[in-house]
Amino acid sequence: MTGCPRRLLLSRDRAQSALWLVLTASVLVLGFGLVADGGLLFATHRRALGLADAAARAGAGQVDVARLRLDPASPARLDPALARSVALEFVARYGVEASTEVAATDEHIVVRVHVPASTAILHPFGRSDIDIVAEAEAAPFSGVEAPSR
Amino acid sequence: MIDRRVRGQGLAELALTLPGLLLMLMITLGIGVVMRADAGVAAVASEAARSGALASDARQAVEDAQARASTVADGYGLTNGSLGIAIGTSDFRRGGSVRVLVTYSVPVSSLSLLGWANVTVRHEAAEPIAPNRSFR
Repeated sequence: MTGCPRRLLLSRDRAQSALWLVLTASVLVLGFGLVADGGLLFATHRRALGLADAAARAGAGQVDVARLRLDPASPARLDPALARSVALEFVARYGVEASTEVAATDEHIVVRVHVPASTAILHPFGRSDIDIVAEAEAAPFSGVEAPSR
Repeated sequence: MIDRRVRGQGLAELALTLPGLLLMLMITLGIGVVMRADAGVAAVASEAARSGALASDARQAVEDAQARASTVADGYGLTNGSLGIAIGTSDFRRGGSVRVLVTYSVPVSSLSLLGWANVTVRHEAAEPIAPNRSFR
């Protein structure tokens, strides 16, 4: 064969163009999805972190007052059970869809908040909900000055 | 003849995909602008709530939260005049909380291809008031 017939060559060119267009469009949509859903995930993480911070501070306010009155010179200690329940209540009140894990000792409290983030674009790729986790820690403080750093 | 048609095909492909690429670029930039504003609004809400929770009374809490919100908003460049701040002090007491809702309209119209878009970002923050604190 000395050369392709013109009709065959043109039809092959058209198919090549369509394939290229489909691939480019797919990459564009995927890229847009990553950017848009990435932004959504960052925003959700910020919200979860703010909630965890505030809940940890709410829990860290539950100082064991009786123990502090017995020995006012000692550092403030937490009432772990009360701190835990206050932190859980705080998240339940202000983070409607969040679930929480709280670990409290008499020295500090750690709050871990899980918030589900619904993806908009990556949904068809099997990631409809992503669990966003944020953790915050707080410790009790007593006195009239700012806490030492 | 065929070479010229192939060149034409390349131009047609470019003409088809270039608007998509430009739109994608504009949307990406727009999302960046919105994300930056979102981070600022979240910071304004949490800082204002924190500031309000440290005040000595509800009236002072509103003033302190407003002042702190303005300072933080300026720092984040949220200065187009659309910043809205609602401060809730109905639960201002020991063991209570201060709530702050912040909204901001993001000016994505500066990106020419997204001139039709108007995005409002909102964040709410609640800050606990320490149960054993003193009020001056």
